[in-house]
This record gives sequence, C-alpha cells and structure tokens, in this order.
Amino acid sequence: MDSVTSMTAAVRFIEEHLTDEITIGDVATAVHCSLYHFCRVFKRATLHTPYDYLMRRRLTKAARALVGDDARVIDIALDFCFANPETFTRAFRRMFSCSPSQFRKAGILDPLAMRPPLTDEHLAHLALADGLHPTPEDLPPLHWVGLMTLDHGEDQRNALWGFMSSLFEGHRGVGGAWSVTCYPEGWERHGPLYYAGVETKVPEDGLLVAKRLPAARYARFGHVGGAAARQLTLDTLHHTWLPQSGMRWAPRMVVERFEGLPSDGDWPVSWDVLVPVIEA
Amino acid sequence: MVEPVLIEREQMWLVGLSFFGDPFATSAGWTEENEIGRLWSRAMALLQHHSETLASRVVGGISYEVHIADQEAITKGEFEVFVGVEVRDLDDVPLDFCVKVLPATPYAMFTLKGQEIVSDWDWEIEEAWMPVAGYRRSYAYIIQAYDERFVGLDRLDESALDVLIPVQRVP
Repeated sequence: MDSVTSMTAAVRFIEEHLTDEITIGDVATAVHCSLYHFCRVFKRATLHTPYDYLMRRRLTKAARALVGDDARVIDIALDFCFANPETFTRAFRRMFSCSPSQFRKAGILDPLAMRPPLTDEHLAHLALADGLHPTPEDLPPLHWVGLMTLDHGEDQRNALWGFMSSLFEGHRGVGGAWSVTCYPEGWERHGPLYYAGVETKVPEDGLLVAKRLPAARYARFGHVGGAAARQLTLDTLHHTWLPQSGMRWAPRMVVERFEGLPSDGDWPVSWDVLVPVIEA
Repeated sequence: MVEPVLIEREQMWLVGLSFFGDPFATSAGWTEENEIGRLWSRAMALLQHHSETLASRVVGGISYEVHIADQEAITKGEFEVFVGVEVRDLDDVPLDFCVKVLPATPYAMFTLKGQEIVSDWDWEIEEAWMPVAGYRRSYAYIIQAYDERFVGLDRLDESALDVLIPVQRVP
C-alpha cells in the first residue's frame, strides 16, 4: 500500500470513529504501520499530526452539534470522547477562540473555522504539491480595475474572466491579472465576494470597478493543478496552514496573481496564492 | 528483512538529551529539520562541549537514538526520543545531560541497509518476524545504534544501521 492510499485509509478510519475512544495507535494498526512511521507519514501526507487532525475533526463535529441541536454541552463533550467539560472547553477555545456556550449563543457556523474531512482529492493534491510551503512577500500598494461578483463557483469565475478578456482584448498596457476573494462577516450565507482585476493604464469607464489594496505582508503559496484544484489549495490554507501558522489572517481575503488573463476554460496550471497575514 | 542476531546486553547507562512530543509536528520529511534532527544537533553540541569530562567514560564510537513509547504515545502519537552515548559510570555527569538507564535484557539486533533504514521496519519486525520467531517485546523502547557504517541520510545506499529491540521468548 503506498503512502497516499494508506493515509486515505487512515483518514477514513478516523472519520468512522470520531465518537469512539480510539488512540493514534489504533489508527496506525488499522493501516498496518508502526506508530512512529505512521506519525511521520501522516504528517507528511496531510500536514496535520494524527492527533491534531483527530481533535479538529471531533471539535468540528461537536461545534455542529452545539448549533444544530439542543443537547447539553457536557453530553456533546462526552459524545466526542472528551473526558470532562473542562478538557472540552479548553480544546474548543483553542480551535474556535470562544467557549462552547458562547459558540452556541452566536449560532454561526463559519465554514472556514471548521475542519472538514480530508478527501482523496485533498491527499492527492497535497502529494502533487509536495505540501504547501509559504514564502513571505511584501507587496506595495496595488491598484486594479475589474469586476466583482458573489462567488458561486468555477463557472461563474470562468464567465467573469471571459468577460474581462473580451473587454481588454487588443488593449495595450494591460499588466498582470489578479483576483481577490473576500470573506466579510456573514459571508457563509451568500458566498464569498470575488473580484477579478488587471493592472492597467486603460481609463476607468464607469463599467469597471477600481480596487486598491494597501501595502501589506503576505504568505505566498504556489498553487498547482489549475482551476480544478483551486479549492483544494484554499482548503489547505484555511483549514491547515492558517490554524497552525500562529499568524493572524487580516483582512479576511485571498489574493491570486496570474501571469496573464485567465480566460473561459483556459486557466493556467499554476499561479500564486497570497494570504495577508499579521504576526500574532 | 534479514534475520536478527540475538544478543544479551547488561544494563546500559546513556547520557544525552531528550525530546517529548510529536517529533514531526513541525516537519515530517527525512531530510527536513524535524525535532529529531534538532535533538541530534543539540545533543552532539553538548557532548562536544563536555568531551574532556566524558572522554575516559564513553564506551565505543556509537551514538544511540532511543524511542520510548508509553501509553501517551499510543493515545496521542507523542514520544520520548533520547539521543546520547553510552558511559561506563555516572560519576560527575554534568548537570545539563539527561541520563537513561536501560535494563539488562536480550535484544534482537537487526542490521538495516540502504532504503531499509527509512522503511517501516518496526512494523515488519512486529508483524512478520516476532510471531514466526516466537518472541515479543520485553520493554516499550527501541534503540537505533549509529556507528561509522552510517554515513548520512544523503548517502543512504552506502549506510547501515543497527536496530535493537528488547525481546523475550513467548512462553
């Protein structure tokens, strides 16, 4: 069994036993690995230690239960194998920056704060990308013109860039293409905002929206796998890298930088993904 | 995997440094700087610093990496890893060292070569060799003994490593 296959099996085993008293040794045995070897391979394949992944999945399920039903906090804690409410609250606060009671009262399930289960596609993508290794990059103030929409998926982004291509076709002086995905408060109800812009000297004509970003520090990642794998890279940034980085994500947006204009159905294979960060 | 040599060892005193936790939490590659790599750097620097004090006491030219797995390891995947050298006595061991006293016990000693070193040999030993040979672990630790035959992770194909598993006969 190769490492991606066995780690896929490990993730599945964890998923099937979130409410059972399993140990990391049980997971290693289930995929026929020694504990030590398993810890190394799991971390390499998923970028999580096995225990961190197990805890984040349990806490995510517990958070859904807090908002989704009216079971007592202590019962939810016990359901997900926390020995007592204090242990549960400590772990919960570490992941969600609030107590279970405060979380229930707020009633908001921010998809970016949850740890969804890793899929086969995520593991294959991480293997292809050889993990995701950020490089710090300080960007000067940026100024673009472009269009903004609610991001309802790949087709919509394709259409937006297709429209942008037709607008700028034949224009000289069009520089790099950028996108900004913003996650304002309440975004989970409507979807994130997606802005497609270009660096250009073409005058703004009222149709296009000018956007300016101040100088900031970013963590830059090399995305690979084209448009089809974009969400996999974003998932890794949101659910794995940011929680482990010790950095504060501010403002809540993701910037993407392309060599040329992505056009309908013809996106590049790789581009830069930049996350604005502040040392916590 | 080659057959082991069964050896008896007296109690061993090791001096060095320890790490406890998931050694791969920050980095999981063999060639990357994970906690085990950092532990080796710290331990070797400390041994070098006290080389005169320890010179007459160090046994042989072997450095040891010991993995100790207790219930915490099984539950959370967090280990104690110790790196150090064997000494003849513990008189005047400098304060900044940790000491491990390994019990007198029989060991199954496997000599791993090349890519075997980075394979999951522990699982192979546990699942393939022990049941057939009629042995089980006598203590929850393993020893890796590095000597001049190990020439580096970047030259694995030229390297050899002895692994010692404390064992006892299954009655």
